[in-house]
Amino acid sequence: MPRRMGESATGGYPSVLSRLAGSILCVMTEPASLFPALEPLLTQVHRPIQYVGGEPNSVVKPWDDATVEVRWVLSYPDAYEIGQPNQGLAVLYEIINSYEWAAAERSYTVWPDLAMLLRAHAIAQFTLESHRPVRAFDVWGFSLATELGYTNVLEMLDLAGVPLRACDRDVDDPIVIAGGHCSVNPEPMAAFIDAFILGDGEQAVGDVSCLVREWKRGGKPGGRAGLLLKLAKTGRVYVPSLYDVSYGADGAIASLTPNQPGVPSRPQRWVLTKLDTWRFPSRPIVPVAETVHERYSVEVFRGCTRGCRFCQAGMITRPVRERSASVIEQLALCGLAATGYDEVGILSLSSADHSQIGQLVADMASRYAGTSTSLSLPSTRVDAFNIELATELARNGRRTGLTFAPEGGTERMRAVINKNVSEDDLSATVTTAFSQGWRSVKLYFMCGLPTETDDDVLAIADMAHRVIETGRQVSGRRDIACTISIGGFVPKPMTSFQWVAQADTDTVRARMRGLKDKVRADRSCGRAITVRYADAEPALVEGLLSRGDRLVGAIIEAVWRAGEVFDGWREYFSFERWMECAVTALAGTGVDVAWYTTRERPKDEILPWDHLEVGLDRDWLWDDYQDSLLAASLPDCRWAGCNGCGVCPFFGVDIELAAQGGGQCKRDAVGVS
Amino acid sequence: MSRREPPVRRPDPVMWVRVRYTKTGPASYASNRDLARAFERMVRRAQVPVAYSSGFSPHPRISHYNVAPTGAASLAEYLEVALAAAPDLEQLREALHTVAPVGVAVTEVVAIQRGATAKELTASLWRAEFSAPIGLEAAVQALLAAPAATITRESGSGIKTIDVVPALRELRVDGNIVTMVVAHTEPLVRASDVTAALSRYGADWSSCRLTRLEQGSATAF
Repeated sequence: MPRRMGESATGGYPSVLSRLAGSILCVMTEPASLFPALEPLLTQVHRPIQYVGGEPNSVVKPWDDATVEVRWVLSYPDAYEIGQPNQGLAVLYEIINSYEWAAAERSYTVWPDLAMLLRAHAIAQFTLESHRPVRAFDVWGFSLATELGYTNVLEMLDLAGVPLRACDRDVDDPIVIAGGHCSVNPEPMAAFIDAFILGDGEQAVGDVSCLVREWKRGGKPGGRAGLLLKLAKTGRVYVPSLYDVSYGADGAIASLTPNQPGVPSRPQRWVLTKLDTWRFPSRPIVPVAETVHERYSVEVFRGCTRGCRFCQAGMITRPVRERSASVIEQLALCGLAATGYDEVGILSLSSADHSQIGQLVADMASRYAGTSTSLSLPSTRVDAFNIELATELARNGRRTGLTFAPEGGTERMRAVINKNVSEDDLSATVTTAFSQGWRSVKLYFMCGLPTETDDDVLAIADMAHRVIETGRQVSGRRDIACTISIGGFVPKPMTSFQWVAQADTDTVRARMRGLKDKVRADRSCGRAITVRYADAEPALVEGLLSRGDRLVGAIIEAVWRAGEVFDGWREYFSFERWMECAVTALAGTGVDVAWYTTRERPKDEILPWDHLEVGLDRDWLWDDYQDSLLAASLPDCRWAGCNGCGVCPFFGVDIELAAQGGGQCKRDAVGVS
Repeated sequence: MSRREPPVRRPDPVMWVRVRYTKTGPASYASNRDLARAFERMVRRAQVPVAYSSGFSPHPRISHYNVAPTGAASLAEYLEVALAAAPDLEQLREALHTVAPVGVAVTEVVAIQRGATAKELTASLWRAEFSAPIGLEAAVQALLAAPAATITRESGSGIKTIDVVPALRELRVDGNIVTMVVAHTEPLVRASDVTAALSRYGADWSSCRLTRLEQGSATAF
């Protein structure tokens, strides 16, 4: 019988002990729980709580329950503290577990201290719910949100005893599926992942589960290849092994085509509509271990059409589809009651753009006024409306810093990336913020943008200087602070900048240093300005992995074999190792790291992701790139009419704004469990 | 001009209760910070009429005492909660228990005078289960006979040297099981400090599972 932790109706003191005893009885069925073997190791590792499960609202379906026909493991390839708050996986966990005949458990990357002990004691990668070996499940789903998690995927496969390469797996291994934003260029991970799903996962996990159930019921016809072919033929699952790649003399792809009849040449992305009608976690897991986000998060819309030319997330999730304010408020109420969190996060790619945001924030601020519950709305819009919202949110007295993302230091630079914020906008916004009582602002920028010069980056210091001066003037105080946060730009697939040369690490480092020196030399304001920057080296590796082809997979494997994991963590990342392994793995191919990263790609070169259909018209992307070079702006289609990116007509969908009744449908179907 | 409104001044608690709970199984591996967060969320989920602190960042008024260390199980953990109303205490216990993570069982809720817990809980009864009885009997005898037994422990501020003997009230061994009564002294001697001392007298320490069985006054066990 499926049961959610903390949902037990019996309550009473003895029930916990019997609950534990019950799970011990389950151990008798195959495969056994690994917990008894794991437990003695837990006192020898850091923060063992992240490996034990048992969190309130986690869902445990008994292993011997025959009604459960399809078992998933959902993984985020990073530590629990990063992976557990991931909203995408929480949604899929909710949906899969809502099926009586399916179950989803979780598994995250174990830290090297435990990994060493697991290998020494021959204990396999396990799930947190039942502590069963991951290899015993039917489907293993990975969420790929950052390329720097790729080595962790390999580490997890290896710890699970699942062959690293898809071609070496047999019928008893789980089908390894990956989704998430990185899967719009699956090629670097093509050797290790059986199937990729592009786009929204809600419907996809249901359809995949059905196909797996059918295949299992039918006695697994055709074995593993049989199932993969079935998945590929849907046209909405990309199975790399069913496509052959050939390369031209220049090192670029000459062709990438299906190698079996019936396999579609252009697998498509999933696009969900009418978000109100889909389940959203209203009783998410409440971690006992500390994690990076401790709040109840509601996704208020999906997609973004602001059209920032660098932004992959915005481009690949079009069009905008909103949840309606009433559903959002209902979810927040239920979510808080079920979790005990004291913060609601109002999430999306740009929450201040929700068509009902003003009313929503006002309503929620009133509802929680005088309580210990606070609201947060991560927004980086640079306008006065943002301040209005922030002021509303701070009614309870808690006032965190304000964050703006101008992204570029000069008006020209911002026009190139289509982040259309003028100096006047910024100045007005900052004036409002400081007059409303804020004392510090944080500004986000990128370095290494197309056409960028040293002066574009140095201008950031002038901008921060004006912010401080304005702040001091308006507030009449000296304790005004500004933090500049700057990171290296990484060109991403399926964006207008997919062809551009990434700036080399020396250029990025030199520009960031120049900025830092200029801020330091600012006598009147320099001490009020903090410059934080992300290292240039991880950005280059991210660039290699994000726009790589299948050859890059060999580098990933070599780096992992050399012992590297947790590349997203500064203390683990080794640029030298990546470069060494790239030289070895690419020997004889005629291409190198620079070829993948710092080279401008011609318009007609076949890009490794060109065979995948996310709905964006390739010519529109190219034209938008050309427009960027002329610093021509592109308006948002929500307010200025269609600009022809191609997504809506391709999928037969439309923008869904809540203010126009967009997300609403079947009000009673809201995923409130 | 600042529109920052003054924080809400919250009413004084109407009563204090002491909650007794266990942490076993998975919950043994929770740290004191993990448990503090877990209980804050439990009181909200269970809709306990908890009193909040005043200020810009109000928190439920919950005080934890002598939380058993990460990795140790306990059948006798205590905390005090300030309440803004006087609910039925058995219902309150049941409500808290129902929303607890696996391994946390809320076994008792009683009304108390504020701060009584610290005064009453002056010692703990611990059970240490060693993987094998090798050298254990002799180590126990040696420790009992020792006028002082210092061990070193890493703490946030560096290496600490601690003599376990002044806190040790009782020490018995039966096969691979050691039971001990350790007084809550200053500086605090942990049960794991005592097992570390036993290992210095030759006990095989490769695996030792600690469980706190009781807390109270040293003479009551």
